[in-house]
Amino acid sequence: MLTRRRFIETASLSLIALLTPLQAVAAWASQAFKANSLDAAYLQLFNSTSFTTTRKIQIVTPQTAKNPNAVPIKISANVPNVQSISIFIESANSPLVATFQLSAATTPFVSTRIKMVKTDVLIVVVKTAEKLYTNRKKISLINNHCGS
Amino acid sequence: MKIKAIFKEDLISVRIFIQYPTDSMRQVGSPQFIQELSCQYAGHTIFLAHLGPHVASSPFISFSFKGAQKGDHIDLRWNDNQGNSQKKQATIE
Repeated sequence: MLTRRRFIETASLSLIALLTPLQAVAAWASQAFKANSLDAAYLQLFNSTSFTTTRKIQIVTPQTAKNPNAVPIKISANVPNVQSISIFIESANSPLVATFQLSAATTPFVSTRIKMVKTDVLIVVVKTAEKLYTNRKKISLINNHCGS
Repeated sequence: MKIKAIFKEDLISVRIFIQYPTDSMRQVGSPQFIQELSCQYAGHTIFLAHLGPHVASSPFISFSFKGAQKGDHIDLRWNDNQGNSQKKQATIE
């Protein structure tokens, strides 16, 4: 039975949980997200703009995306010691879409859904303990109303 | 936040869906998006996503990891760019 005391306890506990500022694990990469060119975003994230292109990064997307607000993408990297996987849209004003940091226990794989406004190229950069790798894939939108 | 963590052949697949923004979080004017999603297992961060506004508003994200067992717990947390956040624990099935 929910007594008055129990109710107050529960209510105040949830209030504390809501109000306590939670410590972020690492600061959000705001400079990299604000960067308005690929190179600027690369420099913010990797301190480098030179990557090795490899087919060992697999990008699985629909060849033509039906819903531009949720284009599914799956990325896997068959290279050792992956530390992060980052996704960019080549000609977006701010190209960085997301960056995923992985631990040694985490498989070099991630899937997500992204918004696209027009047919564009998806660029993936994988950072390993030793090297920076990249691969790219064009994604076409079915209803490309841009310019109309 | 809906979480599915499934153990299969030594690998734990984690799938996360965040319905966002909910009506109570909706704000007029400023663009709202989820900025960060993290997953902890046994006190370690095993997955940390920094997301920008190009990610679908209600993110659907999956990843996988090794080293945990059925019945173990993982802790997920997200926050948006407006100061909203949510924490949730899930059990590996």
